[in-house]
Amino acid sequence: MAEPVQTLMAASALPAGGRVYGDLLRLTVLPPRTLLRFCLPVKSQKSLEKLRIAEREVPVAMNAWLGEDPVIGRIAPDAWFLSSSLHDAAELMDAVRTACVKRWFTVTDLSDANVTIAVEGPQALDILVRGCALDFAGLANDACTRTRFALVPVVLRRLGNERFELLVDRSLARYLFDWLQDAAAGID
Amino acid sequence: MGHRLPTGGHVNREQAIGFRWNGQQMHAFAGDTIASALLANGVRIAGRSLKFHRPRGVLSAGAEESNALVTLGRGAETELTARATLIPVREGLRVCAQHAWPSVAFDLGRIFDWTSRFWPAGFYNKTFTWPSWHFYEPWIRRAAGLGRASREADPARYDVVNAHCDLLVVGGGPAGLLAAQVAARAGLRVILAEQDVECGASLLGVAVLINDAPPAVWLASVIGELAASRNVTLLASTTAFGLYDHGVAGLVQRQDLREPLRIARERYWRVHARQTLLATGAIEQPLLFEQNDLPGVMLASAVRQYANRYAVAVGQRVVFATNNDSAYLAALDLAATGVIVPVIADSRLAPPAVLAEAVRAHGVEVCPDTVVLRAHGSRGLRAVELSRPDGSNRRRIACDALGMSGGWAPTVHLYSQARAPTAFDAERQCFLPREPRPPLECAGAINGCATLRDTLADAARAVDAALVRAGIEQRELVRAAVVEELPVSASIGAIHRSAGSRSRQWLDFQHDVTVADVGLALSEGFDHIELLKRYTTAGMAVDQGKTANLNTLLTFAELTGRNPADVGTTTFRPPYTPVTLGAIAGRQVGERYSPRRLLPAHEAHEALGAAWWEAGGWMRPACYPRKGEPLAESIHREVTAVRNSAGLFDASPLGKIEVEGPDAAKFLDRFYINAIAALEPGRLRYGLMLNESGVVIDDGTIARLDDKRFVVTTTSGGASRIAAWLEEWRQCEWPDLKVQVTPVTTQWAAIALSGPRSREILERFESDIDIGREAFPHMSLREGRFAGVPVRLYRVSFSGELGYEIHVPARYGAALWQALLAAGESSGIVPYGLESLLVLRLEKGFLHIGADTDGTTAPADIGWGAIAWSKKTDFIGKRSLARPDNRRDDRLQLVGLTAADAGALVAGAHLRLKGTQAGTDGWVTSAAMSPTLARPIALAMLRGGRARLGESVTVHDLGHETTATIVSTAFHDPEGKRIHG
Repeated sequence: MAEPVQTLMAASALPAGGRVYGDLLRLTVLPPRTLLRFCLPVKSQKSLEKLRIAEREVPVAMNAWLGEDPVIGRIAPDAWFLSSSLHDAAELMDAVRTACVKRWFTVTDLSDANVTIAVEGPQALDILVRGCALDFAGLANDACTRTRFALVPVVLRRLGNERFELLVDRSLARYLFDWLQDAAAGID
Repeated sequence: MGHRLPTGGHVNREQAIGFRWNGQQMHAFAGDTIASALLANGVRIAGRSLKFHRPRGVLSAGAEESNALVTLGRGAETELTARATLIPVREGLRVCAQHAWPSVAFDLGRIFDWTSRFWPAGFYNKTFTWPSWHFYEPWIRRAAGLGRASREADPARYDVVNAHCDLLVVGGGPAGLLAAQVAARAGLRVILAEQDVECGASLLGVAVLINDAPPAVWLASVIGELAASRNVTLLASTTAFGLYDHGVAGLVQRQDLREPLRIARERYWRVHARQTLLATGAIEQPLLFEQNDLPGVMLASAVRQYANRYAVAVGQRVVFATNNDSAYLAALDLAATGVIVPVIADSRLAPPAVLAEAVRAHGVEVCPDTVVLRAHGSRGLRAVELSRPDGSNRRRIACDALGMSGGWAPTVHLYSQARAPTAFDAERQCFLPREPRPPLECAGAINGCATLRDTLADAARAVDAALVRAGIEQRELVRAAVVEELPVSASIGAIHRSAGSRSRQWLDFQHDVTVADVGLALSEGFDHIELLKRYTTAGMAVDQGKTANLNTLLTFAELTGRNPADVGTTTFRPPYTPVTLGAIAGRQVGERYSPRRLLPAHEAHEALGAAWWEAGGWMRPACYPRKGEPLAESIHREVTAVRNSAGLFDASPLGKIEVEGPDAAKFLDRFYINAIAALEPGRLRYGLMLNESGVVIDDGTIARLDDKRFVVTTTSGGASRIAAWLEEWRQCEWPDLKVQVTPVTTQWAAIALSGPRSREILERFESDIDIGREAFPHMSLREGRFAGVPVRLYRVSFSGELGYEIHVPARYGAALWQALLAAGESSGIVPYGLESLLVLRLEKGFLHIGADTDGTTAPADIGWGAIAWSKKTDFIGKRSLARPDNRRDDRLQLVGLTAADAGALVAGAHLRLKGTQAGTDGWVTSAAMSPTLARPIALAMLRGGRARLGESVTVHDLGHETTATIVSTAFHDPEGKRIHG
């Protein structure tokens, strides 16, 4: 019998670890997280403000996120992401099913489809404006949005004045990390 | 001869700088531009004109320079056609003149000047018609262009930045600075862009008093305040080159002006501005007289700038000629430095009294009603001949420089790019912005202001309007500056030219367009300003006619007897000044030219020596050549292994989309030409998707997980497009359906295991899925666990052999790949790449969308007509299939081709049926030497092809010709026995 696959974890195409640029900038590929896409059609959104998933409030405001773990962010009129380092996908999906028992919804595990890259430090914005046309002055510290960064689609989440996370497709993670490193090296 | 003045200027005399001009060592001071340094070193000829190679000296002191275009650096860092008037000199800089041989001082190309009567405007339209343009083209190409570009890759970095602001101020002169200061104090986010290395513009080269102090004091105060403001971005050396829709502006910032190459040579700012204020100033225009292009003839404002800012006198004896007041100020400042200014020739009858008195006090003779008839000299100015406008009362004045002022053209380029209207102002003899075009505002000289006092007042008005629009109610007033300056009228006298002269009066210095060329164009019927521009090429040079366009259209108006207002201007388009391709590309070069997707098992493929191929944005193994093995042999080996034992293929890029909901089956039924709703859970079906026109746009499998859940696969390159296509229909057309679409392509790694021994390899893994022949038939799907991880196991084949696709969460992709290779070693498994897969599917006659189909292919063309027509429910594109054109028998239809030898049987080769003499009857869409059949095979789209099986067709490719036989598309195992293994 061949060896089970999970004991044979091989080298990954993902960028490894992170890189620090003095005190001004830190780029980090975060450890894998559970990530779900939760879709709730507009017709099923009655009393949305009362909805709780894993005891967490579901953001009603567009392009806003709430919670620490799981983090729940609204990225479309009928779509949210749920992100967690503590819960696995099955737990979180169960939590969604429990919360939405009387609503029609879908929930999809995308934990393997995405990689999170953290961009932190006083130069974080200097990096981000090189890859994205968003007006970051209008992006609050609890904001998240789907956008394009360095030509690729990402979900950008702001965690503070100088803290951001880029949720990028797994296949593009190394490209994006290399791009960020190149941009970091080019800042005056 | 130009020389450095002993005192004055803003250059730093404590910091001497050495640079090389055409290999000759020269000296300058920090703060000098190349142009000011050349003038200070007595250089008169700074360049050669494009067409006639006439010697030309520095004309201006700004972005409008048309003569002093030079080459900087050498080797890979060579930069062509830099404006010497804008580039600061730095230590060790190598500057060379361009477009001259053997030297700029003695240029053999001048022969074109001496034979100029053979090269009038539009000569190439008349001369090179026989025997053909292409006969002359190599010589024309060789003669054209400025400078010689390096063939080495540019080593410099280029940066791109997005920026947002409430107010973009273009121009860092007095108007722009004041506007930025007021807006910043009001709390707006301000970006100020100034093309010069320092802000100040005209204030850097004038002798006036602001608040009882030199302008430098006011400038330092305002610039200091702006630089300290957190809501202001102050960008020097930055040119706004384009103004686009929705307040987007393109700016290029030169980074290497003050010191050797820094991190990025240039930075491209994409500015999104809520409002834009243009304080772009005005550009002085030349006068028209014979030989007005001689080195030493330059704009009066430039003479003043060089004297006041750089402490450079442009000559020993400098004559001024003007039709307006501004040249008096230049004469006054220059005379004050001790340079001899013998005469001001003023074409107006009544010179300005105060200004005339002021210059006379310095011994300058003021000659009213006087124009320059011609300039004398060969390689530089030696004298000017003055006369009354009617040619009488001629006198010759010796001089080595002439400062001329033919009026001022407001810099309305950006304003006009925004499609805002201009209007001709008869008093100022120029085109002015007709009206504010919110959110676009203009201020200062662009609005025709001639004095500093008027400029500042206009800026205060403009920024106030901008603040009102921004909703700022409490506006802090900036204390009005008290300006002491001589009175200057904005009024411009008539433009004179030497009527009837046979000598040339130059309108466009760079492209050598003369007044006579305008007359010639008119006589040949080019009687519109846009036609005239293209026929004469006036205004089409690198400087885009900044010192040529106004005189050209005024001359055109005069020669045609029209009002300049009726003539209008040519169209202003970006860029305002040339922009390097490097700046536009930014970091999108080399590895970052476009995003590259990597497979989950990328490193594993790399370790196996994969030959990479970029396909659909993915880096994919084309094949896995062994050491020294040619690619073709590798493909042959891999295909043979799949046919005889087993092969492993990384199919992870295969598009995967989950479609879920009570209406999922109904939803998908509307996309595919075959029935989906009846599909049972655990089964899958191959399907084709059409667009509204009935054209095949994608193919793939549709697998039913349960009643409400499907997974559809798409072509790898079409994954994003098809997901968006489904989503668009879901959201826009069928929002009533309870269905959701979720792309999951990269959630799942997909490994295809193919070949007659693939089942025995799978059986070596622990799994809760029964993969027996009957339990798990072809076109089935099972969910479960495989080798300890979750799996979606497909029984499907794109090779024609017994095949499986093992889909596992992407984190396990690399491990699964290696585990399968290890498990299959004893069964002769080999990894195979995309090239091998394409040969396998070609042998089987499987369709490759995008290669075997194009934007006209209907289902019937590829043998799917009966299925499409028989489907009872509606689907996208069904209506279009009913068009008679889609039912023609002579449409291009997919067929197979075989031949005795490959010859011309390659993809793209054209087909001709017997009797066809010209044109094409179709083309080869895919071709290969079949390892299995040991003969060349191909798929082709052939006119009426399916009715021609067994016939011969001639294949043409680049002069080669092959005869092929038309056959069925299934070359290998046409009965399909092997796939059911």
